Amino acid sequence: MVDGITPDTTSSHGGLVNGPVSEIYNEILPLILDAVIIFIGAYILARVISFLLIRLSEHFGHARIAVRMIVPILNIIIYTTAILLLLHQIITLSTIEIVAFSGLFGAAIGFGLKDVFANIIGGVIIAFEKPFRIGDRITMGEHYGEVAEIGMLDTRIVTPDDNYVTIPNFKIITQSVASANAGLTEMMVVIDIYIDHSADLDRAITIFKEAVVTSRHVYISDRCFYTILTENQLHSVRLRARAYVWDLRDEFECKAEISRRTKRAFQQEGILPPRYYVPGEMPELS
Amino acid sequence: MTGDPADSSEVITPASCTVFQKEFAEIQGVIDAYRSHKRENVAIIGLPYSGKSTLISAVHETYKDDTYLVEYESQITNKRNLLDYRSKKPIFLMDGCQYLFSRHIGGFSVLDDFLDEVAISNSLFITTWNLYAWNYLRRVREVERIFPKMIFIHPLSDTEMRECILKDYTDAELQFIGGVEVELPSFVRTERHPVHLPFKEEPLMVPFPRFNVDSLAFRKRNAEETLSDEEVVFKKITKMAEGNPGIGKAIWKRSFDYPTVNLKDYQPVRVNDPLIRKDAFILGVIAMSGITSKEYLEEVAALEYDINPILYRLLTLGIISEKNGGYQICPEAILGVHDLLRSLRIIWE
Repeated sequence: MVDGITPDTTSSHGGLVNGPVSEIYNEILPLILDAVIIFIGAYILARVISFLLIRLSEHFGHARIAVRMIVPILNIIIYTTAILLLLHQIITLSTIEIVAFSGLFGAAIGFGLKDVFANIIGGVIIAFEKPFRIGDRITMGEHYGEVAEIGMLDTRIVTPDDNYVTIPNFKIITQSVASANAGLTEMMVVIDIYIDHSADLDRAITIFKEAVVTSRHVYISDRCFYTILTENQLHSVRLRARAYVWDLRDEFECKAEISRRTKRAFQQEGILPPRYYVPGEMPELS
Repeated sequence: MTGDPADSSEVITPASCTVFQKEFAEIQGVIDAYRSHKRENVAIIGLPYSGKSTLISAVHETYKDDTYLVEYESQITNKRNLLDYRSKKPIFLMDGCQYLFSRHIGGFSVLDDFLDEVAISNSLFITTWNLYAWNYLRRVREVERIFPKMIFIHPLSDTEMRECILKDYTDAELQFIGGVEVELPSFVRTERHPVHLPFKEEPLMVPFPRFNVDSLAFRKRNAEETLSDEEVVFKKITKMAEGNPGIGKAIWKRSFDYPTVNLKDYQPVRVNDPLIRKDAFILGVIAMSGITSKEYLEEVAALEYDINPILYRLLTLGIISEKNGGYQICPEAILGVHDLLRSLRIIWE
């Protein structure tokens, strides 16, 4: 090698081999590395912020769901920023190239990435329209549970049986979703108790009402009221209480506690549970 | 008794009740209206230790000939005890009406009978209620329809607090108050927080320094207003007690060591450990009732859980104290308990 002259890698025989290799080595690999670093960074940042906010929200008592609402919005902002950063690293396009790129991009979405983008759009709708929030009790399709996480692509709920169910976000567009508490910590619970036709109905209603209002889980306010309804059925009288549990996490404990205490009081007062009546038999009324 | 209820300066009040002139004037107005055949039953409502009993005693002292005073100090469980209030006097003063119900199934019968009798009676009923019990009963029994005139005890000002605390001392004792040594709270205080170490099961309590924002505001105000030491002490006590005379007195007692009032070492009782729901619920029941027996709390628990570990925990946290076999919230802990129970919605609004 003569001093001052650099070797021409493209014109030699080695250029055919070294050209693509060096291109991969010098340009594509750093891009991939950048992409990996950006996405890992975004992922870690999103996880850390989500973790901190969810932990912090526990200190806010009944306002915790409002704090958790920020999590999906922040996730979207973080991941969108990561994607924009990456695009900025890869391409700088003219207007014509943007139009061409958009067409190709649209076709790619239409054919291959349809579901992925439907999920992302679903995630954006969930984050901004808030049909439900992290911490809500929702019914989506056949699944019922507490929303544990709203991701870019899917929503995860924990069922009462402690199953972790992942639901794609696009289902928010295609299915109806019922939120039992709509962003609040209190939610209505319905408790049914059945008594015999011959039982003292007024006494039973008084006991049931007192079981509801003295429950440690029940919350009553102008908005959160309670009612006791009765319905005559073939073999029994159904007493139905509608009341608000102060924290939706206690939904089942609230129902169980009120039912247990009511049953004990009914036993003490001699209020009988329903029994099977032979058709034509008239129950003895108290 | 002809004072204008709107002008408290003209109102005659007994010596024991000068700090509640406004409330006293309102009651006088109600009594005057009752004498003009307009009956409006009264509910005097306040936090524990806010001075409700002092106020109603003052009313009784003033209208001794026309009033019959009934003071409830524990849960009334049968109607025979309730009927003690029957008298030929036209005005009934009933202190501690939160004791007329119990928060369990079957615990409302005495209250229901009482409300029925009040509704059909021609007498005037002036009653006192714990704020938490009142708010609860508003939701479950609509008591405000029977007691439409609600008088909420106002928080005391610095001078009222001073008057309230110092009335227990003789003139001779009062002399040293002027030379009281006020030790201002420092800028930095330490708080111990548990730190979990991987090789140790139990958390290590590590002291963390924390900037005392209150001290800054207090020093600034003190410098601006050039208050006397005595005024500063009562200003601080009033602030810490949020105007509640019972809490103010408790702070005074804990900080007063002849001849010094040392507010520097006084630490308000805070409930730092998160209480589980049933602990908080029992705490709420105690806060709602006043002095509460263990038997009553067992009825509230209704075989759902054991009351002993809960009482032990609340006692060790210094939130409640045992007195004559009953349990009550420590006065210094009332404000911390109030915040906690509000955030958990144990107490309703």
